[in-house]
Amino acid sequence: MLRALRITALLLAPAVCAAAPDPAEPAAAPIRVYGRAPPDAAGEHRVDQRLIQQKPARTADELLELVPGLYVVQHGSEGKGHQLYIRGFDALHGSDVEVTLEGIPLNEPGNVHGHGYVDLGLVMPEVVRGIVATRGVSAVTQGDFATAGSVALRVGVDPAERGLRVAVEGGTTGRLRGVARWAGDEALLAVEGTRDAGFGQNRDLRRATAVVRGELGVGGGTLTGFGAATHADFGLPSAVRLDDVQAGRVGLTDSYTDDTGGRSQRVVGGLRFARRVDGLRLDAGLWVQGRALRLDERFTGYLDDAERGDGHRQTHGAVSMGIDTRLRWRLGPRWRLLAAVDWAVDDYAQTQAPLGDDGALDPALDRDLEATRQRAAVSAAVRWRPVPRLSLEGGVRAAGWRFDADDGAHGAGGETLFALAPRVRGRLALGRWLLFAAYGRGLRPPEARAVVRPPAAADAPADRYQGGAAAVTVADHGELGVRWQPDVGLTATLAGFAVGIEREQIYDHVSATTVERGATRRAGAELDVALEPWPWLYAAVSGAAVQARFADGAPIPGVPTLLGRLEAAVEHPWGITAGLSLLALGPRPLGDGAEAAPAAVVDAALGYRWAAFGAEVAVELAVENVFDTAWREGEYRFASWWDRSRPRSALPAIHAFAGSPRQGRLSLVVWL
Amino acid sequence: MRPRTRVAAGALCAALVGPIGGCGGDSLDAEPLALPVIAHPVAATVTDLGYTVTPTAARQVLVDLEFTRGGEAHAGWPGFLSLLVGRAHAHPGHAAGGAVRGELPGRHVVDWMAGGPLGEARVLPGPLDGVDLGLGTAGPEDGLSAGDGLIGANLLIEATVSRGAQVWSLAVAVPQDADRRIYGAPCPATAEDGATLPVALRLTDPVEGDSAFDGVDFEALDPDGDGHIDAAPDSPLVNRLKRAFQTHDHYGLTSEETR
Repeated sequence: MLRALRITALLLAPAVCAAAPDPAEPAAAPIRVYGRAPPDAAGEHRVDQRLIQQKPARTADELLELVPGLYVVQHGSEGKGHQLYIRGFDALHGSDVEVTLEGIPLNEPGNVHGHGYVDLGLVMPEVVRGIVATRGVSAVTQGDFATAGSVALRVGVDPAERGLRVAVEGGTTGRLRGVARWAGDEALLAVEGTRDAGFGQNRDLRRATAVVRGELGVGGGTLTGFGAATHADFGLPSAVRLDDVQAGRVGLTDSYTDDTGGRSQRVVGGLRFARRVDGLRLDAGLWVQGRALRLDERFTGYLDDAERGDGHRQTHGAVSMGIDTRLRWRLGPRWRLLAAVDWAVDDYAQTQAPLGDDGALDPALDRDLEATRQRAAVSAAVRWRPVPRLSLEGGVRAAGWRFDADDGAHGAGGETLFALAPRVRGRLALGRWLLFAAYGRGLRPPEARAVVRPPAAADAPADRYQGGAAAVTVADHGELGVRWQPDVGLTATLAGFAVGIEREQIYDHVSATTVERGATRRAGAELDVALEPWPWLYAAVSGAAVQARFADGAPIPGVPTLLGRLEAAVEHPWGITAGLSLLALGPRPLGDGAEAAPAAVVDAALGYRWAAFGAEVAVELAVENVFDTAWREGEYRFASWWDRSRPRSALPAIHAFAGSPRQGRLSLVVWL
Repeated sequence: MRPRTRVAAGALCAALVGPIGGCGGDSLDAEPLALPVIAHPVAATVTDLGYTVTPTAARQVLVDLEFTRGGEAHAGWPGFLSLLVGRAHAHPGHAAGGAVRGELPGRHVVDWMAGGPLGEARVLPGPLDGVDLGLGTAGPEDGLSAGDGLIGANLLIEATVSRGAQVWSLAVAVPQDADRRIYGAPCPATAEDGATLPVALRLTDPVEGDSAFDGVDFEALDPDGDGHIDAAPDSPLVNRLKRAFQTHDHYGLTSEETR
């Protein structure tokens, strides 16, 4: 990294002291310099690989915490997808954050549990080599669900770590996890098995995951194959009422239910071909996915059904495939052209049925949907560098979607939608300073279910009760930023942003109608500081402040107004490794003046690596929540009725999902 | 990194870790107000056949009133979910079509002629759009005497019906299905200190202008010409009124009326 930073500084140097070449001098042989290009926008962030390696993360989802300003909540247990908050968006399970893995889109359109659902249980942290985040929207290649930003994960293993690595991990919650990873220069294979009772109640997990990746030289280019598969069974705790916790009726880590849980299965495969010819770079991919998800949940107790309870079972099965092609063409010394085409189809079937507290399913389904969604998009952008220190890029993404849906419970429908998304960005280098400006429009297509018009109530006009027409949610982002690098070991980036959505649309899972939430506004600032005081220590400090409001001034519930993080990694030549992760979470408005509690939590890891018996061995200890802070990772306000001996109330009350209490995990790692 | 920068960086990290090594604050929930729920007196109605129905007595059993913002009463109103607190049927964080903002639990025998307070509701501060209410079947548990005509029914209306010089007296007991509930009766109000929450029974739909008695030819219901109309259970008149009072149209108030 130090080398990369130095080279980056060298690359920037011509911007400071650019001088015209002397035509009288003989042409020198070209020298290829490898380094990390500066970001194209202030919101673009490349996570340092040392942080990925040393973060005491249980899953790849938790690695997303390394993206500054991104708050990750687990409101189930380890096998379930996480809830994401970034730049004032409550992105639920991924509805506003585009996530890709090896170029393969992971957001699941129309998932029964949440539009754009992302579950990174598919990939173990040990094989994640790179995370590149674009907060906000500025690049024409950002696709569906990039209304708040995009995160791209890359799989691989650092060259110094290649070979066979076997790790066994035990934890204080009865966790037993084994990971075997073999990585060569052009191939990677990893398998994982995990059993964990989880903290508190009903957070047990059983999971198996496999990842394979290989590269092959073909036709003057590189053909990369990638595959991943996972199977997980897990418990799903209910959120506990805060008034029950405060009265001592339940514990913060308890669950009202012990019979709710889920099963998640997913298979992803892809081929990608990349070739560079003179000034042209071609990158083309093909991918296919299979998905099965079942969730049994009960969050509101007996509020709606005092006899059987308000549980439900959701099932979702999907097959998806897609292709994409990107061309980067150097048109001249100052011009670049980027063109991209992608197409994808998702075919899925899903059900939702009432689930009694006796485990019996109601045969009358709330939803019985079969849907097909197709997406085609074309993107094009031109980059112009009129002078070396200035880079300007402008382009547009044009996308179209075709939805066909048949819901046995609510009818059938079909619709085609189109949207255009202009995006421009610029970067100016001034000595140690880089100035950024960007505007971009993010797009979130509706769920296929939204094209189904449910029958209107018998006594009501249809246009009033069938919900709004399905439409693409459009988010307009503006961003200004500055990056300062006074030293090769210090980089600071400050960004200010504003986001406007004129017509926020969601599909209401309860009333089965498309609901318009009106206009929303978000504005905030982010500060990222990267520090490398010594070559063996890397630290990233970040802070984000955001105001997210509806047009009438009411705050968007759940969004952290302040978020701070310190992430540090130690990889000392003596064999000592360490990771430190500090989260400082500010208040989160919950509506009506209610607020979720602020919190500060520290996770840490310490390891020692040495040579023994012809192999390398490491012992690593990870401790989550070092100070055993009783904190609430997720807080929500809604009505519930669990104790039927007490009066029923339909008024909203704060419910919480506990953050992890202090837990320890000890790993023995052997490299052969 | 230069030594001076290194020291500054270390100080920055220490400043972050030191004060907030590990702590959890307290959450703050919203406090509901206690506001009286007031029944508005019922008014006379004129039907499409020209009859004027002037109630002389009207009592009804209402159950578990819930005051809402958004939801079925106002689907499609822009920005109506701006104060949304979802019911979290799908899971916390998912939005729902409307939110309960206040409640007056229990059974209430409402005298729509006298009007007056039903009780104190617990209501979160802020604007309201509607009220959901259950229609109960009256029984001795409601404190009614054994011979009370309301027992076994949900609504008892006694009225004088007139058209021109003709006058009839009417008594009709309207039953309802078990667990019947009205959703989204308009109730434009703002929950704030000193406010009251109105509920009303409307013989005339204040929005569309139709009467609950439209289509009823009272003259034909008095074949013996004695001037008294007693509607038998399951008679067309009872069934018509049963259907009419199953819709929220006949319980709402307009914003002008609540000012």
